[in-house]
Amino acid sequence: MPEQTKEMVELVDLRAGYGALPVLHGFSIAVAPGEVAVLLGLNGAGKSTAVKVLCGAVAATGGSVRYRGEEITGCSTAGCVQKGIVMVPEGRRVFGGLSVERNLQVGSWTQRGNRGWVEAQRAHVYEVLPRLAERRDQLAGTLSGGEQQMLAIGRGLMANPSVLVIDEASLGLAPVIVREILKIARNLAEEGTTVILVEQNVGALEVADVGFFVDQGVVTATLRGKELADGELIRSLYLG
Amino acid sequence: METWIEVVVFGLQRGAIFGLVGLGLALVYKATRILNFAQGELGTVPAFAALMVMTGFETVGDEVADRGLLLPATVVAVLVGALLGVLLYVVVIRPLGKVSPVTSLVATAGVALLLTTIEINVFEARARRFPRPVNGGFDLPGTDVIVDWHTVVILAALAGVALALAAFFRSAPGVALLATAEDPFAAELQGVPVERMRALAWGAAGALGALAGVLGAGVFESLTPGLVTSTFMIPAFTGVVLGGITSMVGAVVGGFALGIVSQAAIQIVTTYELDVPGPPQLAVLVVLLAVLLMRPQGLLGRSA
Repeated sequence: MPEQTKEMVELVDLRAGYGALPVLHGFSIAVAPGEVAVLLGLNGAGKSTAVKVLCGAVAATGGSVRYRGEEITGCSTAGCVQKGIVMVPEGRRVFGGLSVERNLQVGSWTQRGNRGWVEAQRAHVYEVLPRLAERRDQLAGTLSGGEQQMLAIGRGLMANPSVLVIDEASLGLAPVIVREILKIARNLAEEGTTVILVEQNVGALEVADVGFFVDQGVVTATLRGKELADGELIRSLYLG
Repeated sequence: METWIEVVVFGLQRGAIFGLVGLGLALVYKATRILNFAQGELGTVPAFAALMVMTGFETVGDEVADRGLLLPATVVAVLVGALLGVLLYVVVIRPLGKVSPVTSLVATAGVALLLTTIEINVFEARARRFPRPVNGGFDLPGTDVIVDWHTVVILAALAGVALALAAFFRSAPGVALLATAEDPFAAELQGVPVERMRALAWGAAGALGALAGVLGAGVFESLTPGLVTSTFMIPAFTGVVLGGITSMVGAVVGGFALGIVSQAAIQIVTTYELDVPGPPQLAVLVVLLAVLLMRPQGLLGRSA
């Protein structure tokens, strides 16, 4: 029997890297169901690598990944999606030559057997992200950066995630759009989806239940409650 | 006037075969960025498989093919083509991994040579009679031009293939294939089995090749080792380049254009009694050079 846990996702003493270059040196976080967790840190700190291990896109060389208390280290990307861990990749990576609607169709690949659910979920996505509904027949490549980010999130939602990981959602977007995207993330969590945001933007802490500060492949601070709004504390973390 | 109508009729016939071969080339290029020079032999080998079904597996005899078996023989050929396409991807292309386009191109050309050699060894270097599904033809109303029923069959087959592909690219696997072609990593993050999608593209290309092989052998009513590579491959490739290399519509449009150009070349050389060797081949190569020099992205392609 796996030990019972209230955590949705746990990364425990994770080690991983690319070839001979180790990036994570004992990376640990725990995120509870329905929380918005923010991984904050500088470029190259290992945030993206950690979530890629979670989603099966990068192999762990040590430590473990637990999902709903179940050990899933080494799970394939497709396997993770089946289980409900879905990643919205850095740089959005929408399918530019396909329409908005077709992008959502690709998103629903693992759910394609359940037409009724897919239809309902698509309607839901258009409701949550009304700008996509206006542009459903437009090629994704012709959308603005903010709209592409919304589409990437919508595409992720079509895979029926319990945990949605959004890698660098705010990169290259206008502040007003960033706020909108963060609000969407917050609303998703209110609906019950666990959201993990990988961010360099401190503003993301405003919607967070928990913040993890990442530096050189380890989590150096975990912020909760009032700490999330403590500007002095956050500044000192960044400046080391 | 009549001779030019003939040029168009024969041009459409050849062009439709070029289009079928070209669709396979474009599909594989779109999905895996590989120029498959074995596409022609994905047509000849299945055509021989069909011949075997129709002659009771007489590899070197003079057994006349039983035309009544052409339909089941075509089904067998399409299955053989699909299997061959998947095998080619799994056994040759995938193990190569990320290599330069030249390496994979040489590998596929090597497979084409290998398959042709096997055909020569098994079936000998000679022509075998190959039936058409419908013999004879009809007078084009208002002219003396005779249109082969086989031309109608080929055009109908191409139309059927076009409809099937259009439906496929609206289905979940079809859309997933297009997504894989555009961004494999992003597709994988949605749980799309990327390798299976690529194998599917090669299998579909093999099936298209098989259809081109059976109908193409019917055009000449004979089958020789290496037939599809030597007669249809270069014009089909030129048609695909003209059409924009990843465009399915472009492959068909380009195929028809090349069919008409090559027939027109024959007509011009005959009419003016020019001393030009191999007019259709020459015309095709001129078009290929012209496209590469003047519009390398093709007519319907986007610059890569």
